[in-house]
Amino acid sequence: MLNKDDIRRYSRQLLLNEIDEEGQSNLRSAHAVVIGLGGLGTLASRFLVGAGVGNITLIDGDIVEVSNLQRQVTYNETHLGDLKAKALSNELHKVDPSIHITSKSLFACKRNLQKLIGSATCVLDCTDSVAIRKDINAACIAAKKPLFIAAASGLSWQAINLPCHSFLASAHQLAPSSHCTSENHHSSETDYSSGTDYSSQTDHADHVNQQCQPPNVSSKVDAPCGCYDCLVAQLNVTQDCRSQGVLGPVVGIAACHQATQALLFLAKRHTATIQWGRYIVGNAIDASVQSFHLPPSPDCKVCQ
Amino acid sequence: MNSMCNKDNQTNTIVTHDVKRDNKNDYGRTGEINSDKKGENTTITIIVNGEGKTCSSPISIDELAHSYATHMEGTAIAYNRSILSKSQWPLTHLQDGDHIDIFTLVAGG
Repeated sequence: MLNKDDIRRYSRQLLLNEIDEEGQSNLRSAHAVVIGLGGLGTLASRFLVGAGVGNITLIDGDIVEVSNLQRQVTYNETHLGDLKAKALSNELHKVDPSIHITSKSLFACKRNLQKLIGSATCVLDCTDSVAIRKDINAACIAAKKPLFIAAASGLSWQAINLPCHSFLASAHQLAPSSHCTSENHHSSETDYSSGTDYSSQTDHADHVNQQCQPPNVSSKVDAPCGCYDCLVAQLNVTQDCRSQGVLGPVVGIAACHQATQALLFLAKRHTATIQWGRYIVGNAIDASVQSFHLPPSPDCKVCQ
Repeated sequence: MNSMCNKDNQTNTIVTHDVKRDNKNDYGRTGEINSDKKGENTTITIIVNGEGKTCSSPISIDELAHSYATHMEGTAIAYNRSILSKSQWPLTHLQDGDHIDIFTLVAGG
């Protein structure tokens, strides 16, 4: 049930059929895990907070550097040298203090991903290397977590929404609405070492995990779709921002698309028309956007 | 780009070496090679990144990729709007009317 403040705050998106009051309540009970807080993660998480996603976990072990300011829009010179997760958490807290933001200043890796995404309603892959993207993909498939991927380099941006087998859980058995409560929460953890075992620690994410039902993606999946590993297997992807450069707004386009897809899913988890398994290829030079189906690769060791 | 698939600047179609037949006579709507023509070097018309081109057939996607992509490492290929895993490239042979999109995967963020 939305109160007067909620209605005022979210008035613009409440007018949309894709959100409306029911969707807004769903956003409040959702938990988005954002991995990578660079050009993609800063902007995507800003939109998630602004839209009222009730629980957000921010994950990155990096610090803010001056070369980040060209495209990582939430940071400014006062953040130089600060941990990104902490700096972003502080900034987003100013947007809406009622959002539960958990910051984790660590690098996601195989060993900690299951723990990090355990309570997620969905995961946003905002990282910048194929190696960690493959680990996130594998973890999301193992945990059946919907995964929203975006990437950018040079003047190109690409994205895909992957159900990660979650649609197999139940296309028809709709999960009851989760009952996550809203309360002020603003926590952070700091760990510079990659692969920290958090199994002995408790945090707000665990609290959310106890209260939220796992998502059953019943949005339309027209054809079986593959996974990130199906896409990159046997390819040596070298196009990243460090080697190829990137124009700030281009990575911003990717982040906006990614946040839009995640919000549409989180608002109407069981009825949203999400384009699962469509690989979007955008080019800023000729203003073209194409999409291709990503079928399962018959020899994929991750999803087959 | 080598001569396996070349574009005629005037007509935006490719006429490869050794074109002996009219495509329309050699291929049905599905583009399958007529059984009595199998093994012969014939010509097909395909759409590569939105441009019509004619190629010698038989030609695999792997062969086409090598003729197009100067930087193969991160190259992905969509075959009739569906991404094809690299292991399938040598096994998939192009047919008349096929749509091929070649693009480079990016991973930055």
